[in-house]
Amino acid sequence: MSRLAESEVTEPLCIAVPCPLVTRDGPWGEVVLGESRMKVRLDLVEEAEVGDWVIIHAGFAIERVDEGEARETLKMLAEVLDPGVPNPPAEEP
Amino acid sequence: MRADWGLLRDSAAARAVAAQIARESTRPLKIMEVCGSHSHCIARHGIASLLPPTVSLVPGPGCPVCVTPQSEVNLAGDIADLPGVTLATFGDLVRVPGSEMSLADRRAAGADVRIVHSALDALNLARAEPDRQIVFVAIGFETTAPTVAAALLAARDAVISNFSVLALHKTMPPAMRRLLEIGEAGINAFLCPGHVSAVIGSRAYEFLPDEFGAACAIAGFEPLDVLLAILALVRQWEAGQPRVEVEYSRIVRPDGNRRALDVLNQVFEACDTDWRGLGTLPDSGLRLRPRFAEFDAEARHCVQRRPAPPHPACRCGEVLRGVLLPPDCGAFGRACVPEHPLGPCMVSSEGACAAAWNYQR
Repeated sequence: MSRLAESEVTEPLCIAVPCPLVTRDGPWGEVVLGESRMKVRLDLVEEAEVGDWVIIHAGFAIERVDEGEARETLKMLAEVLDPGVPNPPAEEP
Repeated sequence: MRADWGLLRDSAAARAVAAQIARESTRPLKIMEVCGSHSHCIARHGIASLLPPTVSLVPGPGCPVCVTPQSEVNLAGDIADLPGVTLATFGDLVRVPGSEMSLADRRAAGADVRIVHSALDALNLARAEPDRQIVFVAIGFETTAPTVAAALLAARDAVISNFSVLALHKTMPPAMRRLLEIGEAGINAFLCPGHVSAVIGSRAYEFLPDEFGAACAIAGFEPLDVLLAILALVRQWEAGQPRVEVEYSRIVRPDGNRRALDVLNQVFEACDTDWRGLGTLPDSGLRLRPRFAEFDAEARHCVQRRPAPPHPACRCGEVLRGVLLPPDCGAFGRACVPEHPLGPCMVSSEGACAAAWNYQR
């Protein structure tokens, strides 16, 4: 079995990450991923605008993040946590 | 939105949701996750260890590299060996053992195999090296297929004649149907994939509760996303009211991404295809439509699929069907480790065996 160079240990095929869209020029855009900027294609999310968060997969934005729905998820979580403890108690019993 | 996003990774919140799951779960519930990134998240964050004994999680056929059968791994290798051809592939596939050699072995023997991050990268290779035939190995589920379709539309518009695609995509709902038809894993519920669902939409799973009584929840990829989806599944199961719930509604709409589906359908059409561990499933693959036949690598390079059994000691097929957990495989951690894998589930970082090896030892 031949060994892979370190540079070839790649991220998993399926990985898809949310990133903010910072520029848009026709079918191309730029997103911020960590500390760097990355060019992506916007063919699959034609309505995406600068300022939107988009999910990036294999060089393409595949969907926009709906901020209202994101807040809904957090609300759902808050409802489960409501009688419980969103933060750990200061002292363990 | 981002200010309180950390709550989805908060360990105290995770324990609180897990405690709620334990309070509400009274009867056994077996949940299969069919997304490699979920398997990875579950293993990495030890989510199974937070759950009550009534709730069990089992990985399924959610890793695209893992479900690619031996015959297709060999087919990619046959193309890589052709003179004048450069095989461009996602990195995960390179170390998957073929019947005789992996793509990495073939490259060591002189084949031109290059790792790319997208179909666009492969298309750019074709532009940069017009004297070579560039073949992109198109594996992946509905998340990836639209990106390949968009690259093919670009290749057609730019009249790039030294680019073709080995179309090996698979679609998830037919595999979920088959798993329930077989019934051997005793699955009651599915943790449905997040980004496949972003493309195909939540309605694509409605046959699972309707025909099979299976509970379904589409989850995101933070630990609390997964736990909230499991809580939703427990509630459906306890109430005896299975349906499709979307915990990941910030991304997933009922009808999916229509633009992405339109691009996909312009280029690909459904076909029967082979899955590792599941056999041939009707309408579970994507082949190029006749008007894109010029980009079909199999036709262009005159290669044919040949039946090929997996390695005799490899039990990836059983792992992918949810009937064998990785640590219960006799080869796990002995004959099969990431440095010397017998099968793809130990190669890909999304594979169930690799996830178990990396996080649960």
